Amino acid sequence: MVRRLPIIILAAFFLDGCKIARDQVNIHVRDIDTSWIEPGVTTRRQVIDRIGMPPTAKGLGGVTADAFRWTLYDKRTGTLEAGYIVTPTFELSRAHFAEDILVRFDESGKVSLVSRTVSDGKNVRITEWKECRK
Amino acid sequence: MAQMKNMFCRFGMICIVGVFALLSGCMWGRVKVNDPSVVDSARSIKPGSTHISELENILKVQPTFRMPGKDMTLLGYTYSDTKNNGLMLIAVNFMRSTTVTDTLYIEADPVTQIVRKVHIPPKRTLEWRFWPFGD
Repeated sequence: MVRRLPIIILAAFFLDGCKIARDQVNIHVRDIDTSWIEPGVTTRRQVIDRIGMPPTAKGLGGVTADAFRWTLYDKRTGTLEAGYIVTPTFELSRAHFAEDILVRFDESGKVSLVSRTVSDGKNVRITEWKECRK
Repeated sequence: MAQMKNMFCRFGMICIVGVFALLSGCMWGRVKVNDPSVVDSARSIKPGSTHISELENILKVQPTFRMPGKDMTLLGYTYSDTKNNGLMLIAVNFMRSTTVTDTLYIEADPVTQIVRKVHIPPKRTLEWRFWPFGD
């Protein structure tokens, strides 16, 4: 074992290593309460006053003429790098919207749809779906 | 005696490996996109009297987007804050990046272009986190 330790240390130096990384954007989206919104009754103004407006960022939801969308972006990455001078890199990543809230408004400014989905990267689950059909 | 010497030698090697593994380093990084202080400047906007053309002088930045609508003109000022944290061991690195994006919205009358309302997002505090697992 003692004889093998220097080899293990050397191997650890030459194997550049592996990286496990996680990127999350807008983690606070999980805490937004949408259970009080009633389609056909709740107005855009009430939504703004109670939960605010979603941040608008490219590809991450935001405000459009008839909808508000909040998203929690989650990306997990695993990287294996072998060697120092020539470094073959193997990377596997999975990005998804872990939480996605969509509030749609009709022409009169009332909520017409509330949908909320949760994803673990493989399966998407609808946790809330409220719609007002005229 | 020889057995004891062997044991000390083994213990020493394990300590060296442990020190190498633990002292490789830590990483902290911070990335800010656009200036969040736009929120502080926005407090001096007077809804009902400030005109859209005055916003550039007050906020000192251009809006990220401008959305003309039937019942309002909406201007948005988006900014974000990211904290990167990493624990760098020799063979394994653990890294976590947490970002918060927010948008300051300003509502204006579509005809008179006078500011009607300023939506200031709440201030959010990001935590430094390096452990990439869990929630």
